[in-house]
Formats: sequence, C-alpha cells, structure tokens
Amino acid sequence: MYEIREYRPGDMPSLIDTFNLVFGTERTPSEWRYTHEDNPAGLRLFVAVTEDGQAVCQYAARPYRHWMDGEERIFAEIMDSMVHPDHRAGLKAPGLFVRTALPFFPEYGGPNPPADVVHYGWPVEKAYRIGQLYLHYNVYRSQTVLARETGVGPTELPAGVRVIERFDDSVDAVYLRCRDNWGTSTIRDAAFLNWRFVDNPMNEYTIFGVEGDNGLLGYAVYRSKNWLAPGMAVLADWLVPDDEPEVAEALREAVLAQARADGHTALGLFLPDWSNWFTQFQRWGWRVWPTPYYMVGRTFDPRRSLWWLRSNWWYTLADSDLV
Amino acid sequence: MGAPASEAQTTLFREADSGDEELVFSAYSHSFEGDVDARAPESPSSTTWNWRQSANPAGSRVLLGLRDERVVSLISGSAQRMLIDGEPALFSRIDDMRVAPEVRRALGRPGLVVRTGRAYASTFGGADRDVLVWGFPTPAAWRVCNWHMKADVVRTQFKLIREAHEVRIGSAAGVDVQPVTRFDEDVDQLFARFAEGKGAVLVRDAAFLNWRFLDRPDHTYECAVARRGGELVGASVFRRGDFDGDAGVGLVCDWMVTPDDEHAANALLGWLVERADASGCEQLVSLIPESSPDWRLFHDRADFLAVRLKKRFFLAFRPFTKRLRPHWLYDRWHYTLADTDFC
Repeated sequence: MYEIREYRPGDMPSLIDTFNLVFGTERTPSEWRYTHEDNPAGLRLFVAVTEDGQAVCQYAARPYRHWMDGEERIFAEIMDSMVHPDHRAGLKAPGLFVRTALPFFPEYGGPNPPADVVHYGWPVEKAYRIGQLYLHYNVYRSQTVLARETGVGPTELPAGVRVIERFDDSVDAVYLRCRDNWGTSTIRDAAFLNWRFVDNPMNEYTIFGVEGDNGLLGYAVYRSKNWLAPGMAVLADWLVPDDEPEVAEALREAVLAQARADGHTALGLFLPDWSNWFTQFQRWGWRVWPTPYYMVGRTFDPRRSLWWLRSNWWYTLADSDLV
Repeated sequence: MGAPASEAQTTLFREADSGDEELVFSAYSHSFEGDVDARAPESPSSTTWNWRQSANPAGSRVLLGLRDERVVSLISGSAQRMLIDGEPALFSRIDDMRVAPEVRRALGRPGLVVRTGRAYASTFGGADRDVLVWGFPTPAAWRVCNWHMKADVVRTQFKLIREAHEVRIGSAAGVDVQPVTRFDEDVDQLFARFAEGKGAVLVRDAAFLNWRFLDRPDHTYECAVARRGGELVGASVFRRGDFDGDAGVGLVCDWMVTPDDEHAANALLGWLVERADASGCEQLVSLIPESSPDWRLFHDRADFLAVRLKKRFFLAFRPFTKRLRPHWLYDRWHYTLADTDFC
C-alpha cells in the first residue's frame, strides 16, 4: 500500500535516497532544495510513500513563470520523475509511476490562473512510451539541436562584451523588447535568471552581456560541459532583440571564444524551430542535428492549442533541466 | 459505445475495386468539399486515378464508406514497397481522406471520419500487410488521428532550401550526368548499395522510379543519372512545382547517391542547379530526414537551410508491429520528396 500525495518537507531524506539510487548521483539536500523549494515559481511534486514512510516514487516538475496573453501563467517542466527499482511495474499495467503521476495533472494543471497551463518535458524513450500509453502526453516537436564547430579563432572576449556576475532589473528592458515577438515565453527577469544560472549549486554558467548607453542590450549564457556529443559545450540561454544584430554578433563571438578557451570543439543550443534566430544561427554556421528527444507534454487551456504552442512558444535550454 | 445500430447497418466499408471508378469520381464531384485545412477536392481524371492505384507496382489502397450505393467517405492511399533492415515490407501513405459534409456530424460517436480511418487500418494494416500507415496530416486530421487512431509522431518535418545560385558545390571530377527518359535495371544495383545500413527505405528500383516519375500522367519530371566510367553512381529527379505555400520552386524530388561518393553528389547537385536555372526557379528545395547522411550533404556541405514546414509539419504514423517505434523510425527511416505526395 502506498500513500500518493503532494510532497511534504519530511519526505526529503528518503526521496533523495531514492533519487540517488535511481540516477546514480549524489544529490545533496541543498541541491534538492534549490531545485524544488527555492524555485521562485513554486514547487510541483507528487510522491508515493510506503507505510513505513519511505518515499519511493516522485512525479515532479519545475515551474516557470510565463508571459502569455498579457498575463502571467505557469508552464511546468516535468523532470527527474522516478520510481525505486524495488517498486516498479512493467509497461503492461499502470504501475506506481503512473499512479503517482495521474493525480499530479489535475492538482496543478487547469485552464485558468493560477493553475499551470502547460506541463512539458524531454523524456527518455522509456518514459516517453509510458507517457504516451497512460499520461496523455502529446508531442510538441521532435527536438533538434543547433550546433557548430568552434573552429580556429579568438579565445578572448570581443570588445564590448563583459561577464555578468548577477542579473539585476536592467534585464527587464531586454526581455520586454523580445517578448511581444513571441506568443509565450518564460519571464526572463532577475528572479528567474539568478535562480536558474547564478544561484544554481549544481552547475556553473558564464553569463555574457552587452550594454549600451541605457543599460543591458542582450545576454548569452554559456556552460562548459560536454553535452550530447563529445566536446560540445552549451549555449544555455540567448536573449537578444531582433533589431540588435551587432549585439548578437558580439555575443556569438564571446561564447565561441569561451568555448575555444575551454577546449571545446563545438557549441550547441536549443531554439524554437519557428523563430528568426533559428534561421539566423544557421546563417552563422550552426547546423541542425537530431537529438534523442521529443518535446512532449499536456496543455490545459483550450484557448491555446498544442498547434498554437508549437509555433509561438519561445524556449531555450534555460527552460529545461537538460543542462 | 459504437455507432447507432441503424447507422452501423447503413454504412458499409470496403476496399475499392476497379469497377468503383465512377462512384469515386461522382463523390469527388458532388459529395466532398474542402475545410479550413484542405482545399476543395478536384475529381481525379481516370488516367491519374489509375496511375495512382492500379498501376502502382506496390498495389492499390482505396477504402470506401458506402451508403445506399453512394460513397460518403473515402481514404486513398499509396502502397510502398519498403526494406526494413533489409527485409521486404509494405507501408501505406495516406494521400486523401474525405467525408461527405452532410454525414460528417450526423452519425453518432465515433464519427464517420474515425470509423473510416479504423476501417482503412483494419483492411490494409497488419503485421502481414502494411506494417505502417503514415502521412503528413493537416492540424484537424492530426487531432483525430492522434486521439482516435493511435497515431504518433515521427518528427517535426523540415525542408532544406537554398537559392540555386548559392548552392555550394565541390569537385565532380570523373563523373558525368546524363538525363534519362527511362530508368534501367542498373539502378537496382545502385539502390542496393544505397540501402545498405538504412533501417527503413522505400525500394527505389527501376519499377518504382519509372512508375513514380516517368509514367505519371499529370506531372513532368526531369530525371538524371550520374556515371563514373560505365558505373551508375547516382540518380536524381527534378521538377518545378509548388510546395509548402511557395510557388515555382525547384523540387529535388529524389536523390540517390552511393554513400560517401562526394564527386557523384557534386555532379548531381550541379545538374539540379542547372535545371533550376533553366526552369526559372530561384530556390531549390529538398525533403530529407535530419537523421539521414544525405541531410548532412545538403545542409552542411551544400549550405541548404533547414526551415520547418508551415502547416503539415508532423510526419505521423500508426504502426502494426511493435518494432516500428517513434524513436527507431526517427533515427532509421530515410525518405525524400519521392516518398510523399508533395511532388
């Protein structure tokens, strides 16, 4: 018998034990708190607990504050969902994983604020199959990555680009210039960006910015990590207004220079396949490559269909837990 | 719950046969109409219909829904001979799905669209018949197929485009390109080499290529082969046409080059650019999966840009064998415009 319910603070120790067993990691309580409790957008977590109090399954998501239709909505990325190996069932019958996930969606998702309007993620193939069979996952897209070789070139930052230690309110103006070109996007303000990149205890990121007379004009977030292919570093976020080509070129050169300096041979990023930047990066020499991922999920607002989201939702790797 | 008993008795689903032509043409002319996603249909000519169906070397795929001897729903498909890991198999591609508007919503649940789709699947699909049914559905059709017919997604489909005069082409030394008016059997050996290592690929033998391109009554294609000495090392097909909302583009309708033969590829790319110029096409457009080595040729080397299709951008499928999973098909299924009804 299991109790399936929303997470409570006392669940953390055994949940971390299960997490580390399943994923072969050594996640710490502070890292766990960062992921779930410190997220400025809130916590989304259901657990299955045994009669002796052991948390053996979680269905979790990481919520992000989005801007859509002139108001804040929540999109939540399903991530780190797991079930203890001793409590698993096969694909043929809905096991504990599915039973834990099923109440998650009506608890958090719904058509009107403050309910989550979208749950999404990039599951591995097995989780994808379970999601298709039992959890009504829909496919947003097959996920591609834009990647290019770093090649021979400078390893120093170009003129006009500086490293940002911490975001402040000056980023708001950049986001405001971008957001109206997109149907919906995570609100890229200091609260989100500092939580996502600066205060992250698990990963180190380098943030490059270009400033003008009136403050920040654009930024790019870089991570030195081999991701998807050997030697490929990550361009984790990109926020540049369409009409700032010189800012974009300076940031492009900055991340390439940093990747070369770190010994990476390639650099990759996610961009929505409908966006201008998807084409622009190709013109800059990035190429489209396959990944093992489908971007999947559920939407709860009938006014914004899956088909609309596929062509209007701006996202980057910042909106994922993949890097 | 099935359909009301009276309805179930009055709608008969069956495979079309050669005597059904007039019934089908009458339905296209008088019963079907377009919707928000699909233009109003034109009645096919007898010649075109016969080419699509009875002349297809892989067989005919037409499913009719009949009431009182009148066609009220129809799915026309295209059978395709495939190799799956080197073994022969059949796919069928859905080309058109129609339901007469006066019965679309009046027939209980599930509606006639769904029941026609299920009838197509039960008639033609199966481990020993078409192991996979696929297509590029309109958004409305996708919703129905996904929800009611267990359809899944292989990929979000990109096209590869480039201004013809900007295509980057390397050396073609030692390779000659010749136009052909008929494919000979030596193309079968080329296909055998081309198919090596591909998980799923349409059989591009002379029978297919001649039927698909040179016997088609309503389109004219330009076909060419590349030879090194006497050996056939590549083949390609070009047509000026409309695709994905763009008129008068140069369509790379098919492409088959021995793997890693750069000179043969360059020779055929040069021929495609020449045909685009001669046809007044500013752009060349191809359709290749991003998991295919040929994507790398067009995208990385020839500098084509990847652009998502505007509307029908999901390659959707329903399998009839567990082996054909989305991730496997995404990685292993090679196709070009020749496999589609886009050209």
